[in-house]
Amino acid sequence: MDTDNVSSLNSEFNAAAAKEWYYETFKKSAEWLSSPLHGKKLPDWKNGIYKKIGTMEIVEFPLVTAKKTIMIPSGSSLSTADKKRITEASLIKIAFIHKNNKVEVRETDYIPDLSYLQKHNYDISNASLLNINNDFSGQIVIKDWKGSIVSIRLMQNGKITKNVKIKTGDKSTINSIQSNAAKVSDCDEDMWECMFELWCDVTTYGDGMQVIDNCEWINTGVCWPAESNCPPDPCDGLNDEECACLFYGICGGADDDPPPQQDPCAEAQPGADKAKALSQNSNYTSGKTAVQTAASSDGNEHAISFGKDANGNIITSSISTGNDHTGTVGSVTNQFADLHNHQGVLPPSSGDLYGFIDLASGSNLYETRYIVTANGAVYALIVTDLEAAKKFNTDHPRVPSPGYEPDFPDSLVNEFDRMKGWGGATDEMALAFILEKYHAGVALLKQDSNGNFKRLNTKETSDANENKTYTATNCQ
Amino acid sequence: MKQPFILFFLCLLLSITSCYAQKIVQRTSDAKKLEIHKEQFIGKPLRVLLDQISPEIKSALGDPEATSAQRLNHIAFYFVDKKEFYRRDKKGEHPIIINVTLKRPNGKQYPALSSTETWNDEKTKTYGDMIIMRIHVSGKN
Repeated sequence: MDTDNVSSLNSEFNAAAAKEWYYETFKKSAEWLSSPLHGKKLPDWKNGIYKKIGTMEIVEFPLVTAKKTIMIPSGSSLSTADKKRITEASLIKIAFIHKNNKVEVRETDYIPDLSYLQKHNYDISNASLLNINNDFSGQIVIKDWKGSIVSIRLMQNGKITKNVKIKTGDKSTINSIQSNAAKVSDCDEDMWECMFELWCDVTTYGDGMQVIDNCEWINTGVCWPAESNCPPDPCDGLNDEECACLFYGICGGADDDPPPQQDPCAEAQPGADKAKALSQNSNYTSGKTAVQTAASSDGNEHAISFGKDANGNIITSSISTGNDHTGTVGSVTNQFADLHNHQGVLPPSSGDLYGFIDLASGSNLYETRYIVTANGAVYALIVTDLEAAKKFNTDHPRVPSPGYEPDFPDSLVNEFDRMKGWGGATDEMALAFILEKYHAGVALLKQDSNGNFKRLNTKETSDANENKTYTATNCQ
Repeated sequence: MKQPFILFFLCLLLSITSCYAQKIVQRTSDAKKLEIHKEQFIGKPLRVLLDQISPEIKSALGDPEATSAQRLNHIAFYFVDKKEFYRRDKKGEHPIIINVTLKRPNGKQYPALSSTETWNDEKTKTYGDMIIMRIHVSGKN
């Protein structure tokens, strides 16, 4: 395995080719958009490493990013200061892997153990799996561009010593005592992977990005239970290329369990509980009835807003009357929710979503928007991540249509069309999918017959011919 | 002596006629010209725009049937079918889409658009009187 620098003349896919592919193809792809950090992370194009392994070419660059999410394995007692140092010193790299005329993108987190970090005087910027003299000790986390974990491995002196598998669906918040109590020195141990974040201001210049000071370290308090085992060398019986394939998870997928995902039901539950609580309040029920009565008598949209008085009691605005297609939301003190009717049976519209994000962005109190359809179904939009909602507003700006409600940008409208026209999705399935796919920070809920609000989720499936179909995987 | 003159006249007539018959979109790569010349189409029936497209429209998706007065309707025209679209989409390519935002004249009702058939004259007849409000062309050949 020969390691060349990026200026290797004989390479077909060198640093320049990787950079060109990034801007000409990848940056225009849905995959690029799928990362919540797109536009806030960029390869450091000047410091790449090239390696050819069989027919596979890999170009690895440091990744400059506004947010590092680092998973530190529990084990030897690490002080808070040590965890902070490890987070700060951890190295994020991005690999462009060229094989069979296809390019895959992988992010590699080099999370050093404390002794390796100290040995390298707290600077591991030269660490790379592609180095011939790779002596890295610590944890290697391979992720895709979106941030989903492909594999986690512990290494000592450049050799894999353990595979780590996150136990999905069992996220916990644990205290540091529990975290430090687990062992990692033995094989087949249960352990914890705890998440730490480093947020930094970044500035872009030309085709580069630079971290400027003002970094903030955050102990998220979130840890995932995990199990580790000392594997027989996973590359036993494989050639170098097959081994690299396995390591990056690009040949038939990852060899580990699927990555931990935020449970969408758990994420929406606090907002769903609030939506239910308000729906049981007498001011809500009388307000909803008044809106429905007014709508059935004049065929227009009507709206009512909910707020709180100085004593915390729920109060309402007067009912506002729109026309047959739009309603104006009335205002009330400490407004935190609103409700309006739809004359048809469609779920919240693009205008409902953008208007809701506007209100939530203007007031931290704003939590819920209810939509009552003509057949009595009740939907609710809730905020799950206000910063993400603001970003959605910026990344997917509304298209104004004077006299009509604003629409989604064409790219999203086209995706809705394809989901419904080619993939068999209903309107509510399509909206739920788009909200989650593009990290809108807003969840779509629907009230069930017991009065509970349940998040609507949609799963996309592709068959061998790349046909995409959609199924509802709503929270129960 | 008369014969060359008649021939010249016929050639001239033919070239003038063919100039008039020249459509804006001769090849799929010309689609962006529809957006560039959108002033020719805004406020006109959809059929006026469709008359200017020579290549076959393989797919059309949209919501011409939606009767909500809240939203404008739209139809998106593709020069590729579903299979080809997803094949190219997987490679990170974006096939051309002609997005046309439409208004229903006098609140007229339209049938839902079948997503499994290619666009044809029958469809032009059905939806051709919808009024064009906006044109946006995205993607590459």
